[in-house]
Amino acid sequence: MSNSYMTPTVAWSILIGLSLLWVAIGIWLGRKTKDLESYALCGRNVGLAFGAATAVATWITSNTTLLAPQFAIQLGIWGMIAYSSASFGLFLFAPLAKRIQKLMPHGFTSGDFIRIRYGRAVWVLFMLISVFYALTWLISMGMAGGLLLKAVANIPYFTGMTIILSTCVLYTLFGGMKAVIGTDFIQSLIILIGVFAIGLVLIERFELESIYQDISENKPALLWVLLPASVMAIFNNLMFGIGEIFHSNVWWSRAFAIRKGLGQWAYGLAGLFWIPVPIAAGFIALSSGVLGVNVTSPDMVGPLVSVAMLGKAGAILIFIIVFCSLASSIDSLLAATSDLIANDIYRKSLKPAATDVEVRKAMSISIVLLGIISWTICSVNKSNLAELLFFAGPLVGSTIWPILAGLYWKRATARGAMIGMLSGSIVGLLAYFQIGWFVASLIGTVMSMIATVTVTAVSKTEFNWQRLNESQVTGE
Amino acid sequence: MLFSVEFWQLLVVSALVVTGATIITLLVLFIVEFKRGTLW
Repeated sequence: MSNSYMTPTVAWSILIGLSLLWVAIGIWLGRKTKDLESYALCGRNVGLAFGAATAVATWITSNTTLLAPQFAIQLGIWGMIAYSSASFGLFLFAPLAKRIQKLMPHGFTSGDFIRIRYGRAVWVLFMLISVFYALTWLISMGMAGGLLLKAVANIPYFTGMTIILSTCVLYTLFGGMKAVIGTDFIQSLIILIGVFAIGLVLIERFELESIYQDISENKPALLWVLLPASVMAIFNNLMFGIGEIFHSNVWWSRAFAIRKGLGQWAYGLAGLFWIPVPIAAGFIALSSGVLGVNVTSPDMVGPLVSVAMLGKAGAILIFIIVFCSLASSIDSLLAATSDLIANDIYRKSLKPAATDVEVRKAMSISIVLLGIISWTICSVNKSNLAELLFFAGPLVGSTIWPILAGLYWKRATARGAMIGMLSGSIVGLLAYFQIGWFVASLIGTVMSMIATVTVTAVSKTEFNWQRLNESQVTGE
Repeated sequence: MLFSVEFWQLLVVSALVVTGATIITLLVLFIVEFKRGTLW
């Protein structure tokens, strides 16, 4: 595909041009970030436009632009809706963001919450799940970057992966959260405009009825109202999405960074903005039949259709969309995970007397180290980590109820949270191996819910919400 | 039983309409907050 539609000169020009653009924007945005709060949390003053856009951009990963079309051609209309259901994580996090801002006006990370609310043992388990998931996601994005740049633009895997990882490391390092959120805004617009443009051209060129006709004649299963695997995939994706968002510091750090009172609006809008993206991307994939595209690899159906329809312009457009969707997730993961390592592990465990300058330095070192670890693993192993991400599904699903109960239920206890996370993870992983990925998150979440709610229901202790406001407790 | 052609059309058209509206909303929000100096 790339050989016919994109010359090496064009591919390299776009890759280098985009990389330089993001690094330049990152350095420019980060020029005034002097203290820790402005570097890590944008001074807790992010407005609605940037707040909503960063949530949308981060949640649009390369999986959304490439796996959503794959879901559509394998699981049909339900596949599109299933992927779209991941937006519920954003919707449901909206009231949580409001609660988090209220309870923890000086909070830094999701780890902060777990540590204060449930104590050290639960915090250790939570950190293991959280850092494992963040690293898995980060490495999968690095690998996807290398594989996709190779597939779309014929850029060697190692070179593509190295460039995309180092670009994100550089601008996150120099600009901190401001660079992440600023570039996310531009990247979200580019992705949305690209998906919208391809969809519009498709509708303009083919009648929607003719696309439907083609599917109903050649692949009627994709239009079935009751396709069991797809229906299960909806619930699984829903739980995985909610678990990912509820536990991950990527989303908590944004709740802390967004201006007080706007958190719920930013996440609510982001959910609304995100819903149509997998459906539009899936629609592009389902048009492959009417376009006569020979889909050799399901995860490449999106690029194949856009190239078949728009030729060179389609190849360039999809290349830019893929680059933006990768960068918008990698930068967020680098910032949020380094935040978690510097704040939770370095400051709260290794060096409690660390100054803000030292914590900021620890964050910078963590960003570089995370980049190096990801790069090393991506260099020696270029398999697709989508499977491993689904493996993490029950782990993150098991954190949903301990977090919910911890935020809203005074009687929620460390024991309930620990049993909930452990039982949910174990039973969910058993389901993953015995039944399949499409039920693992769902079963893990349900198990965790039963355990957390049961233990909490019989608990007699009541948590003092004031303890979550660390500055009041410590008298800072 | 298959999803009807009307449902298919509604799903696709509304997805594209919401995507278009999202782009406009983000741009409008950006301009408004930029003018007010409340972007961040």
